[in-house]
Amino acid sequence: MAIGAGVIAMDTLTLLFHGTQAVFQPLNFLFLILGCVLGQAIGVLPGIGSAAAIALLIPVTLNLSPTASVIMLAGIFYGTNYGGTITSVLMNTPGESASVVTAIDGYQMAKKGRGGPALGIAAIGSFIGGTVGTLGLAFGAQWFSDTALKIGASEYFALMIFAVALVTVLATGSPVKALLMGVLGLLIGTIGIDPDLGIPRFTFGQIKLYDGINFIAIVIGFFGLGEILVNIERKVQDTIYTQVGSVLPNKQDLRDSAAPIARGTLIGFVLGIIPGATSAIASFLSYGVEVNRAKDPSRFGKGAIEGVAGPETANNSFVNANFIPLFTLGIPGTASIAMIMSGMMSNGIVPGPFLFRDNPDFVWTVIASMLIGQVILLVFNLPMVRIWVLLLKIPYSILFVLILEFTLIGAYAVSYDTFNMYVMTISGFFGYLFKKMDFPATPFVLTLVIGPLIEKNLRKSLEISSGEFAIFYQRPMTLILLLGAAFTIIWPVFKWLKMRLKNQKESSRSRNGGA
Amino acid sequence: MKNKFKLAVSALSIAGLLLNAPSASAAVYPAKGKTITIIVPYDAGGAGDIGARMLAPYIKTAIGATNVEIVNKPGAGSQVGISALAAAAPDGYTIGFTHLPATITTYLDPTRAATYDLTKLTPLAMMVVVPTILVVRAESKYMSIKDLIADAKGGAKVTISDSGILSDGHLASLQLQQLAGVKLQAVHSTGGAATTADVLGGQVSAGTLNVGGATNELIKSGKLRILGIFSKTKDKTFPTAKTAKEQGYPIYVSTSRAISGPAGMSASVVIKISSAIRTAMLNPEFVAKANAAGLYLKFMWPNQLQTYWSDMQTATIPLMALKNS
Repeated sequence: MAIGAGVIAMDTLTLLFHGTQAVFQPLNFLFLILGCVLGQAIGVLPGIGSAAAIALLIPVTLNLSPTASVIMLAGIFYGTNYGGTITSVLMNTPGESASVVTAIDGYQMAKKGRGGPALGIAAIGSFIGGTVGTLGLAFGAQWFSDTALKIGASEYFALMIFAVALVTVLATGSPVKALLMGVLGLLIGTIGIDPDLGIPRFTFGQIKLYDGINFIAIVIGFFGLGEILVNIERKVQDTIYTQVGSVLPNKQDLRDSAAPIARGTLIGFVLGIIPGATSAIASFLSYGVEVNRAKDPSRFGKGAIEGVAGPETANNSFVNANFIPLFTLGIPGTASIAMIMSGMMSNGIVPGPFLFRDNPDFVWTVIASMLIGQVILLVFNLPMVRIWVLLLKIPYSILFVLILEFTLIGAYAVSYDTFNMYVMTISGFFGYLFKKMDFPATPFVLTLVIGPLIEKNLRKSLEISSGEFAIFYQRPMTLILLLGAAFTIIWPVFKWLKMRLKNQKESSRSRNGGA
Repeated sequence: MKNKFKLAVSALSIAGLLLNAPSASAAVYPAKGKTITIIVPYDAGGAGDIGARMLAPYIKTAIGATNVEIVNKPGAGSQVGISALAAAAPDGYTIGFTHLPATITTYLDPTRAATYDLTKLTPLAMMVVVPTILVVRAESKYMSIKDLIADAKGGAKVTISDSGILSDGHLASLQLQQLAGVKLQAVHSTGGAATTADVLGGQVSAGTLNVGGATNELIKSGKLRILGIFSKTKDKTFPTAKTAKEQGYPIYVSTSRAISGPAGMSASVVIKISSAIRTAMLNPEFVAKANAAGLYLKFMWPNQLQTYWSDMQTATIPLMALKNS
C-alpha cells in the first residue's frame, strides 16, 4: 500500500518534471508571463474581475495551442488575487471581492506606515497558498474532489452560519451596532430574483435590480469613497502617511504570520474544492478564525498583520484548489473557473474523469505552469512593493482625485453600466455616515456576501429533506458546524458572566472584610 | 450646349436617385458599412456566448455584411437582453439569442413583468438543441425511470436536482410527476455544475442535466448513468440509453438556442438571415469547431422554429401552476 502510494508519487513527480520542461518552451513561457502580468493588472483595477477578463480573452486563445491558452487563462485567474491586495491596502478600495477583508487591517497598516509589510506578507502568503493548492491538485486531485462531494447543502449552510458567528462575535465596539449592520447586509442581500422560486423581491419593477445590488459596487463605495469623504473632511494634510516605513515584513511579522498563513492555506484549500463556495468566503472565514485565535482580538481592525496574512493566503489557496473539481469532474466551482472551462472546451479539451488519461501533456504542463506562475508572481510582487508604496507619497489632495476616479471606473467596469456608478456613490455616502457614527463595516460586508448563500443553501437543504429540520442534526458534519457556531457565540457570553460573577464575589468579599 | 449638359447631368442624377432610393432602404440588405448586432443575453464566456462567437464570423461571410458583432446584455436570467432585442428596430441589424425554455418561462411568469412574448419577436433560426436527460450516480440502485417511479410509489422519498426553477430539467421532472402520478421532490440548484455535484455526491436521488461537454465524460466513465432521455429519438453518443418515451413517459424536453429578431421584420430580410445562418452552420470549418466544443447543432427554418416555440409554450403553460409543488 505504502509502496503503491510511493510509486504514484514518483509517477506524479516524473509527469510534473516533463510538464515543467514543456512550460519552458518559448511560446508557453511567454503566455504564462502574459497571463500573470494581465492577472496582476486586472487585480489592481477595481471592478473588473478575472471572470470578465478571461471571457474577453477566450476568442483570442482560439488561435493558440490549447496548452498555451489555458496556461495564460489560468495565470489571469490566480494572478488577479495577487493584484487585488494592492488597492485594498493602499486606498481602502478592494480590487476584488476576495480582497475586501484585506482592506480592514491592510489599510490601517498602511496608515501607520506599514503598507510595505502588508503587501509583502500578502505576496508571501499568496505564494504559499497558491503553491500548496497546486500541489494538492498534482498529488491528490481525485481523492480531494471525491471527498468534497460529500459536502451537501446542509453542511454548506452550517459552514456559512459558522463563518457569520466567527465574524460577528469579533466585532469590537458596540455589539448592537454590529448586529444592526449584519442585518442590513442580510436585507440588502435579499434584493433581486429569489434564488429558489424565481420571484423578484424588493425590485420595484426595476429590471436592473433583478440580479440584486452588485456586491463589488457597494464595497468600492462603502470602503473607498467613504474613506475619501472622511479624509477630505479633515484638514487635508500634504500626505496622510508621511513615513513609508520598511518595505518588507520583518522577522516579528513573519513569526506572527506563520500560523495564519498555514491556517489560511487549509481554509482556502478546503473551500476551493467544494463546488459553489467563493474566494471571498474563504478570506472572510480565515479572517474570522484569526480574530478568534488571537490573544488580543482588539488589535484587529487597527492594523493586525494576521488579518492580512491569513485571508490573502486563503484566497490564493482557494483559487488553485478550484482547479481540482474542474480537472477531475468537469465541475466549475466559481464563475471564473467556469470561464476557464469555457476556454478549455472552445479549444477542444473537455475536462472530466478522462482529462488526466487522455490529455496528460496538457494537464501536467498546465499544473507545472501554475507552480512556476506562483514563483513569477512572487518575484514580480516583492520588488514592486517598494514602487506601490511610493504612491502614498503623492500628496493626498492629488491622490484622492485619483482614488475617486478609480472608484468610479471600478463601479462602471463591474457590468459596463452606469447604474453601478450610482450604487457606488450612494454606498459611499452611507459608508461615510456609518463611519462617522461608528457602525462597523465588517458585519455588513460579510452578511451581504454570505447572506444569499445562507438562504440558498437553507432552502435547498429543506427541499432535500422535504421540509424536515432533522437534516440539520442528523448529518454529523452539519451538526458539528452548527454546534461550533453556537459555541462561538455562547463562549464569550459565558466568559463575561464568569468574570462578572468573580468580580461580584471579590467585591462582596472585600466589603465583608472591610466590615 | 451648356444647358443641355446640365440637363443631362440632372436627368442622370434623378435616374440615379430613383434607382438608388429603394435599394438604400430595403432591397440591399445588409447595406454596406452597416453592422449586424447579435445580442447575447448572457455573460461573456458562457457556453451560449462562446457558441455565438464561433458562429458570428461565418454568418458575416454568408450574408456579406460589413461587420457582425456580438453584444453581451446579461442580467435577470436573459430578461434584460431579450427586452432590448424586442424593443430594437426590426430592420435586421439587431438580432439576438433567445434560449428556450428560459425565454418562455420568463414571460409566462407574471411576477417577472416581461415586456415581450412570442408575438413581440420574430423567430429566425434554431442553432442548438440539447436534449435533457435524467441521471443518477454509479452507486444508485435505479437502472431506469421505472425503478425510480416504483420506488417513489412505494413511499420512498425521491429528490431530483435541477438547474433552477422552471429550467428545462424542472419542466421534465414536473411532467414526469404528472404522468406517473407520484410525488418527486424538486431540489433547485444554481446551474448544471451544482446539479452534477449534487448527483455525484449522493445528495439527491437523481438529477436532470443536458447531454454534451463534461457531462458526457462523466457518463462515459460510468460515474453518471442515464435513466432516460427526454427526446423523441435516441442520442447518437449514447445509443444504448433509452428515451423516456420508450419507458412509457412521452416527455420531450430540451434546452435550445434560437436566434430571433424584433417583431415586424420584412419577410425578405428574415429569409436572408435564416439562409445565412444555415449556410454558416453547414460550413465544415464551423462544424469541426462546434463538434470539438460539444455543441449539438440543429438548424430550423423560421416556420419550424415558430411551431417548435409555440408547441413548447403550450406544453409549459399548465406546468407554471405546478412549479411550486
